[in-house]
Amino acid sequence: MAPVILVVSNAEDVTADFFAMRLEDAHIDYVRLDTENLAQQSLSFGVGGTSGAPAPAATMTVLGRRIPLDAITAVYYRRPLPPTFSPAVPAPIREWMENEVRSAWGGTLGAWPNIRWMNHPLAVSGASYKPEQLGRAYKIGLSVPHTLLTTDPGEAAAFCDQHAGAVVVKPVGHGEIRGDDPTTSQLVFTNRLADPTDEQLASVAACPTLFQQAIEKDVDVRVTIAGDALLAVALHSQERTVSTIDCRRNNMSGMRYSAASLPTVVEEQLLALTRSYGLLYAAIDLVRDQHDRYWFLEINPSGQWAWLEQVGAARISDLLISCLTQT
Amino acid sequence: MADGQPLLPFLSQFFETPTETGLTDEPCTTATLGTETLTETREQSDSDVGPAPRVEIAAFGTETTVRKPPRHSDPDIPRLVGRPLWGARVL
Repeated sequence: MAPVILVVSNAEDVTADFFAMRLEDAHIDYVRLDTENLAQQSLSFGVGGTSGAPAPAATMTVLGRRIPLDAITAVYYRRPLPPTFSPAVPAPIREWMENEVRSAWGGTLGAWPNIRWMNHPLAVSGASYKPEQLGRAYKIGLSVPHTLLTTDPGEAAAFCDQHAGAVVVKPVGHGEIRGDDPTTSQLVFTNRLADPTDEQLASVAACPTLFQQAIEKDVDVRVTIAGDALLAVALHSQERTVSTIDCRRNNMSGMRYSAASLPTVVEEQLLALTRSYGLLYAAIDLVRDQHDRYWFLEINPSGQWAWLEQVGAARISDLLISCLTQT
Repeated sequence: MADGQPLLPFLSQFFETPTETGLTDEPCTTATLGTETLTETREQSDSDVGPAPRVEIAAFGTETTVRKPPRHSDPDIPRLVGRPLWGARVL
């Protein structure tokens, strides 16, 4: 049975598009499954009975192509969206059907044996919480900036006093405040706190807020892990004022990149961290300070990588393909 | 909720409007990627006419969503088999 890689994402995911083109370049057979279209695809799975007759082979049919599940050797799983149904179906039934579709596909494919997941949805879910990430990384031995997550204005004030104004604030989850349409969306980046007043800090009670010791950066570092492979790229964020606190600002326009070499112990810690979540792929954000110390900021189980390849900083798709096609 | 308790989060003082600041989370190179992919599709599909779709990257952080205009929602448009919906040849 010829092996097939399944690329699971959504139709709007340009990184999945990019990866699919790389798979084609490498002459690797793959199928793209955009999960918002899941209800329009076919799935068949059977098990059990007393007749002794074997259950029919489990298959999926995606965009007209029928694939035995046993042929799927790897899944590249990125950013799925919920399946959609006709608005003619009443909303409560649509909601129920969505859950049925997700349970059927997820429960079949997610538990199918001998599939190499990059990454399994359960592993992604387990690795998606920043407070837990920071605690786990710290236990593994990585340097973690002193961090306070609190709804207590008094604790926030004490933290800011302790670090004498060298404090940043950032979202605990993601930083997009989604509007009704893209023009009304808002963003929040990592920001440096200047000397917040008690009146300002009172609003900490309204929503958990993450305060973190500001690290005096030399460079930001994006580490990409694929299986046992690790690739680090330095982002020279301190060369431009706009990107000193948050390197993502201004679309990273004008950012200079260079290969980075991490201390072996840090590499081993990052690989251990990634494996501890059961992740095959991770994008990890570090900071190298002005004393060559590496600080862990976060691990992204579905983090972006294609832009690094486009700017010539790293050929990450090769790592991913090599990892997904390992036997 | 007690009287006088703040309603908005502390971080709201740092909220920014992308259209005002030109900020997006994803490097613009990905937008270029989208455009390239779309261009490639346009060249290879006779049914795909009209102005080049605009690619908007409107999300942020690790949960970036890249918003592209919907395509292939028309059942009469040939579907791609075993190919990304946004790339390569139409069968």
